Amino acid sequence: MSYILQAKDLKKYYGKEPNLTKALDGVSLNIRQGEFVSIIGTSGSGKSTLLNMLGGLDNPTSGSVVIRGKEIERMNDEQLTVFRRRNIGFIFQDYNLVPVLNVYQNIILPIELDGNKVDREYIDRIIHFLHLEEKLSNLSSNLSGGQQQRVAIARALASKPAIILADEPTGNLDSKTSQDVLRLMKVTCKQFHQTLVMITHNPEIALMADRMIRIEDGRIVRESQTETSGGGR
Amino acid sequence: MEKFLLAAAILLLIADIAAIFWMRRQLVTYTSQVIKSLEEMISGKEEIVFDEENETLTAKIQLKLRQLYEILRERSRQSQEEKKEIQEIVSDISHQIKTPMANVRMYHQIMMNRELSEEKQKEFLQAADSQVEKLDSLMQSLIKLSRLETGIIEVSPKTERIYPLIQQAVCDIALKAESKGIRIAADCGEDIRAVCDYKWTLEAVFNLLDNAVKYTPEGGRVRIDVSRTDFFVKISVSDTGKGIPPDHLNQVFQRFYREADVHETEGVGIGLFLTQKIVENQKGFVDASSRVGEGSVFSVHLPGEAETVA
Amino acid sequence: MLRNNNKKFIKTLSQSCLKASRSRNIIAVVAIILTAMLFTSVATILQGSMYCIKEQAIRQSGTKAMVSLKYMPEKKAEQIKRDPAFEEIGTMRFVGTSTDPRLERLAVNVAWLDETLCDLNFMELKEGQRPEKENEVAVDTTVLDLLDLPHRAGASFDLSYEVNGRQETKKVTVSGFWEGEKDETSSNIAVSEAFADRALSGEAKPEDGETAAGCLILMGTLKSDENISEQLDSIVKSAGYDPGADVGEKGFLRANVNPAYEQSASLAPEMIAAVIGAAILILVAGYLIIYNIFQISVLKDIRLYGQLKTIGTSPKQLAYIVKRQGLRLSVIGIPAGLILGWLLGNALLPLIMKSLDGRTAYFVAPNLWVMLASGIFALLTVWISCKKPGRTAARISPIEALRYNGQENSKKAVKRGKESKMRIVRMASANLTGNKGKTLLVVLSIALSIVIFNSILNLTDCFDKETYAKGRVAADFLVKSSDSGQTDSPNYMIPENFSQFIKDQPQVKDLSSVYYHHDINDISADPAVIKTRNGKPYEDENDLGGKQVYGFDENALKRCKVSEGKLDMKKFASGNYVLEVGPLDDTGQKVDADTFSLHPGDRITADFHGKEKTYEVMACVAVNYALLYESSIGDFGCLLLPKEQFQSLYPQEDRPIRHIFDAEKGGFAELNKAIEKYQDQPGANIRVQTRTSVDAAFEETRQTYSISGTVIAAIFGIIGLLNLLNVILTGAIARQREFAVMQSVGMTRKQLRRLFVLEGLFYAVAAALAGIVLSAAASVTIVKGLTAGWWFTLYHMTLLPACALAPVYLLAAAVISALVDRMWNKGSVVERLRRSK
Repeated sequence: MSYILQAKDLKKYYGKEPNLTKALDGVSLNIRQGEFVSIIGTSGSGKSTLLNMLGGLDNPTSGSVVIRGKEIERMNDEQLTVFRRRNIGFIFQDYNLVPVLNVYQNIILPIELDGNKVDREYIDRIIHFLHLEEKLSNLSSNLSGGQQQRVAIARALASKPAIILADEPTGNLDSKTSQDVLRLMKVTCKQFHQTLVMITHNPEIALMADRMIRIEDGRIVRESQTETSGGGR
Repeated sequence: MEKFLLAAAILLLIADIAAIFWMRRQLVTYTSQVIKSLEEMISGKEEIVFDEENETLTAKIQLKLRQLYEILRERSRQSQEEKKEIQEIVSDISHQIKTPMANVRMYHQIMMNRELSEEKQKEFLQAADSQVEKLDSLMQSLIKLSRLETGIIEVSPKTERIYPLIQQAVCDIALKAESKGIRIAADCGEDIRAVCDYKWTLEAVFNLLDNAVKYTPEGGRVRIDVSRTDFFVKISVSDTGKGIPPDHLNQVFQRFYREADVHETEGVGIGLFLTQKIVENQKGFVDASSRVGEGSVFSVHLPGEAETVA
Repeated sequence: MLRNNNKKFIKTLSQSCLKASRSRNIIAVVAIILTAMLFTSVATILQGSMYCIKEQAIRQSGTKAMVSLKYMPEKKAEQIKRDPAFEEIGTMRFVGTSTDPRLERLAVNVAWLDETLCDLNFMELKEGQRPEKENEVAVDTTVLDLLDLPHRAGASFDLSYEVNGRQETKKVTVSGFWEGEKDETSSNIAVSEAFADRALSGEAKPEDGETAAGCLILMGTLKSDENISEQLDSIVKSAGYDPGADVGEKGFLRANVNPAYEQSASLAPEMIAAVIGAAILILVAGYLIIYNIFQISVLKDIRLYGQLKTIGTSPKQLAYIVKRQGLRLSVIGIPAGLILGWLLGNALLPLIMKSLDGRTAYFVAPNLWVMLASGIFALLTVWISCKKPGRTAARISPIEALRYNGQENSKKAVKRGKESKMRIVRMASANLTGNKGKTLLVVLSIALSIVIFNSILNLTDCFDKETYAKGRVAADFLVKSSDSGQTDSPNYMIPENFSQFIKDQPQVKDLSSVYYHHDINDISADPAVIKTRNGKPYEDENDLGGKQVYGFDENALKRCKVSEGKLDMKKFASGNYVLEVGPLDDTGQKVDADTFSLHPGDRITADFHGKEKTYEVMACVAVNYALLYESSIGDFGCLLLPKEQFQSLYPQEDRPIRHIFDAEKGGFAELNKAIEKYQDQPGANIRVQTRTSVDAAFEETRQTYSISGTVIAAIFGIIGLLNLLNVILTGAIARQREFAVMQSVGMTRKQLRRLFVLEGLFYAVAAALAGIVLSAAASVTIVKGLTAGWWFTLYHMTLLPACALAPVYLLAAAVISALVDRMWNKGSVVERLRRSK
């Protein structure tokens, strides 16, 4: 079976010699469909940069990202954005909710952007699970950090994208809620055969992944299988 | 005026007809694209290129087709795998049972067919009994396994100190080691804690020690090291056995796996598998490394104490 | 057709974005209103001036009727009246002409008129009713005045008239009257049907085309005012006449198109150019501000658009979100602008009309096409303005937008004392130089109003009264008949009474008289035709030898400017010489040498209305065009004879067409008063141009330009100030956090306000400097170029208006900044830090 997400020798440099900063320095990565990969590393190690590049938000200095066999550099801005809308759900560290929309509108945004019918039952389940029922008509800017994070998670799950890229998705949640939320994500990922790539600082959560990748100074220093030794599922 | 109206009407009519033709064409294009994708899906092609990056209705339906296709393929793959696994288990178990059963039967036949001295009879009965014991221990292990797997027995990890756990395990194996003249050394910090279920983890560590003692020649040494890693507490058991060739290293954790040249040693090849299951149930993992002729290292990685890890 | 059906939510999104930026919306709506208002007012003025010009021409022609068909028998008239091309048609039955000596000044017909005809000719009865009994008539107030009758129905008088050469007199009663036009030359005495029947009972039915008693005249309006003359031809043809026939030929019918309808079809090219120019100017001005508002708001919301893009809002959708906001605001702004613009246009129309030869303005009703065109133009402006901001939003790189935090903050603590003052100045200026493009846009948009204001005042300042007066009037007073210039009026000469009157005035100095020969029956006939020049048959590339002939008395001759040759008064008086005359140009200074086809020394033999005479050309002279007869200015060559010679050639032209004279020193006011008094008498029939009336006209012209210029400059000024408000406000919103942070580290409230005001002032100073420099540039280029095209201007540069406007802007900027500061920087620091998150 082929890989859903591939990074080939990704490099991202900022500035010029002698002040060259190497955010990523040759990262190659293959992720299978349905895999759950966690990325760990100290802050400033290039995790977020890698995640942004995997989602086509940032352009690498060199190297390429292939999603579903499509090299994303080959797409123009319009195509890339539409492609992202349909294939990738993002959960950002600082949530990036749309401040002018209410919670419900934020959650269904990726679905509506593609003009699809909202699967009310499924959305209601997510909303219920994330305890957001009461907040649906609030403007997202009026929520607490934890609430905003849950909205961001709901939004990423809402359109059932093939790939979910999450940057500290549970950073603002308590440990019990974090576990629950992750379990939800795992269940939906399994159900819809989604691939989950997640940056985390929380070992419990990192360990829930199939594979753990450790990044330091823009390089992958270790990859380790967690649950299964054989790889894949 | 009438002429103008007539001309306008005719123009509108032409425009209408053109619009209908155009719509029909669009519909045909749309259908044929969808049909092409469906045909590729029916023929089970691996790499189907779907058009998903354009703002068209075709792209949207292709996206859904692709999702459906992938989920269906994944399900069929999973069910095939499960089927295969069950077959393997059945054949493994029957294989494991076959030899002792055959032996017991052989002993019985000998005793029934021949007049044997009481001493001999006793000898044969003892031999049969050891075979039954083997079967029993196999059954015990299988029961443990199935309980673990079906979740009848819940592992309940708590933060535990590792030091007493190692002590207990060493005590349990001490007799067996002594009988082979093997020295056991342990290095464990007193305050190292991990999140685990004491009873089951003890079983897992004991299995490793048992394994090490089993495959270490007389007068060898076994070492236990406990240390902290990223998020884990690593308990590694190293021996001075003959080691495992690298290409077999991954297989040692498999159910009923036994090295080809260790048939004379007792065991059914389920200890390491059980260890792995126990550890994984506690969100840890196991690994092994080895050098042929020098010995092997088996490690259990247990989740570290949540608070102490960044 | 297979395009994605995902527009709905984008609309919701756009609506949400719209709701989120209320202050921007207000500014944008005002800008859109202004733009639409300007478009509508220009279009209304255009429509209004066309309408007024046409209306005025119709009024002047004395009839609303588009066509008239004259002199036909009753049978034919009935047939023509049934023609479907007519909208309305009125009938006049000619009876005879008045022979009352008191009415000699007017050409008065006695006729029966139907109601439609009265209507078409503005003969609306002011009092009384239409004549019904045999002895009843209706007349206009002019006739009543001439007959010394009161403006009342019921008065009686003896009507003497002539029917086919037969004199009749009948006592009649005035059953009603209507208002006569000022200085009218012809009128009607409307009689009852019974009167007409009786008067015509003994007369023979008139022949086709015969102007005899009983003939009919039809006047009517057509359903369509396009191709009037073609329509008329087809009417004539279907009635059995030949539209191509000439006078006297078979099938001829006198059929005319009202010239008022003929000329209104086309618009002066200068007018069109001015309107196009104005439209472009408005488009640019509207674009500048609307674009600015949206661009700044997109930059402010860049993070939002970045977020939307990461989630998958495609560039096209983003652009649409921005554009739709503009269009939504247009829905409010444009209709409001259309109404306001219509009102403004109507308010400005009288000013504009005055500048167009003092025509009267009419209130213009809103016109669908004007509104539609203005609306479309305003929408176009909004559309163009939102395009680039839309593209900016579309092209956002999501990752950079997410990192974007507005300007770089300088979070250094602010020290107190002198040093801090300097620092605040530096901070304020740094903010301006930080975003050069935005600053430039704002500064330019404000500067534009300064430039326009300065340029227009500079232009009107260049209007030179002396030059204007010199071109308009040749002396202190110029008197002519009020009918002067009307080709078919017999009263084109100054009435005898006035000549007598003026001779008696002691203050008059250098009274000069100009005589002119003019054949009212055949205006196309040349008064003189040159046969030979220097013995050879006359030949010239410019003319065929036809010449106008003027007689000047000695004083008038003194007012001529010799262009070629030498003028010897004594020799000239001998009667053997002639002068070639041309008009001076508008400045009253020069004459175009090409106008002369004869030159000093030429001997010519010419046919002066049947009398052949030979003269020698003594000189070529130029005179102020006001001295020449209106219809002879232009391509006609003119010959000038001494008064005595002229009168011997044309004995019937015994009265002058012009009196030109100055006042004795100190006598101007008295003389002016006397003449004014004379002029107010009924039947004075003269028109007077004086230095003062020219001065007044000059001031009026200047004022018209100044006022319209100031209005335009004011509108641009408002746009500029809106831009300033916009930039300061958005700056305040964008940097709220920065300010709160600075305050938390020790910046005082006062310092913050100073920073704000300084920033506003920097914009104003930059705009004022740019405005003054650009005004100077515009002055030496555009204004200079414009003055070259106007004859009564003398170019000089002035920057006074720009310099005067600059402090106004400085003040406005300071006030706006202080207001914004007060609005936005209130509340505790913590509160603001939270709000800005």
